Amino acid sequence: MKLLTANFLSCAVKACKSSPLSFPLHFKDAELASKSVPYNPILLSNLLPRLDWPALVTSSSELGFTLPQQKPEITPFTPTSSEDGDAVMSGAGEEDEKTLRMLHKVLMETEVVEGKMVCGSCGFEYGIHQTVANFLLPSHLV
Amino acid sequence: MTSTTPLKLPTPSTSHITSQPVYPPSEDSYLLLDAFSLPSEVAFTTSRFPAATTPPPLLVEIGTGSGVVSAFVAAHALTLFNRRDIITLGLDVSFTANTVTNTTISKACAEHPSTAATFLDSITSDLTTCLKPSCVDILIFNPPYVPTSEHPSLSTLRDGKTQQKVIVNSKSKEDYDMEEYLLSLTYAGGEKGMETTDRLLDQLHQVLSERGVLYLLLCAGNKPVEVVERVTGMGRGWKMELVIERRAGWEILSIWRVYR
Repeated sequence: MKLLTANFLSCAVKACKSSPLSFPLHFKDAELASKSVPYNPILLSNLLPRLDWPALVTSSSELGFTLPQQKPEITPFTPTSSEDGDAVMSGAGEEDEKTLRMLHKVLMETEVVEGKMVCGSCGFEYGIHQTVANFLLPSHLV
Repeated sequence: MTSTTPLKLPTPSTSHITSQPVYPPSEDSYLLLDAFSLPSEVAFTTSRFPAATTPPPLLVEIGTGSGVVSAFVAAHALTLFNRRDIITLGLDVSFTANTVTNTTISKACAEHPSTAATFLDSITSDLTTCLKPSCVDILIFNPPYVPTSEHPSLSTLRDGKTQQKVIVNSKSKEDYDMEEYLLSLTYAGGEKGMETTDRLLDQLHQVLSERGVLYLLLCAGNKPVEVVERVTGMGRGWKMELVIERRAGWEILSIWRVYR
């Protein structure tokens, strides 16, 4: 599971959905792998406004990455295409480019292969196996 | 070209699926591909999610099975939605389906790098219960819609340990039973074929964002007219509109969009 995915998940227990403690779920015993993903700076910079940044900082630190406490401000840009068809940032400053590369590595290319995600409200542990998280609750919790 | 002729885009390969018990790409799957490829639907989604001025949509498919539908919309995102800054998630109750889907989508996106969206993950989940509320912008559901006298319970998957392995070739009686059970989950819809779809409609207002749209497949046995009444009866401006309809053997299949 990619680190970014954790920004869209919360505890499957009905009573937990309204609890602020059920998001983000907390990584535990995570085995990480790095998986190459095509770099898409347009996606990353457009995605920033809709991300829950504090939750991302928490998830990242649980996996050993330090993100800035404040959501980075990326200068708006116009997308153009390079010769090989990849989207490139035109007019993006060197600092922005550095930030986006860092975010790409942490959010898109860091994969939890095995491990758990724990709800801060009810304590339920969701297993992650072969990168697939299991959110099917046992019958007694449904 | 008229707006009723779907664009011709390549169908994702599922040749890596050999004997895993997942729902194979079928008439209903292909009808979903055609629905998204209709010029009229491309016009609808591109005006609802305008590129450059609105944040990247989150696209989620429930019950990915082979992964062919998600792979298609993800690989052809630029053509279908006029933007590549889309993130996608796949959900299925079957661990085997999720591992298969990961391969199907990754392969399709790698084959179409200049038009592909970003696929995040497959997650084992009962409908959308794993998701943070109100975050889905495009939701796709090809439900178990066949009317059946019995509706298989999820308890075998919930309480068993069998989800930890990918089933390929059934060897033991246990494997064989599991395979049969997984396949029954892909089609058996219980009364009117609506038992699973009804549960999703109950969750819809908590799952979709304000701009969110559900693409739902129904068969004639689901009594689409009654489903439309139910959706409009939810109030708050919910509506349900027909996108495409087709006879497939003895079934009449239709795709609907539900939004507010």
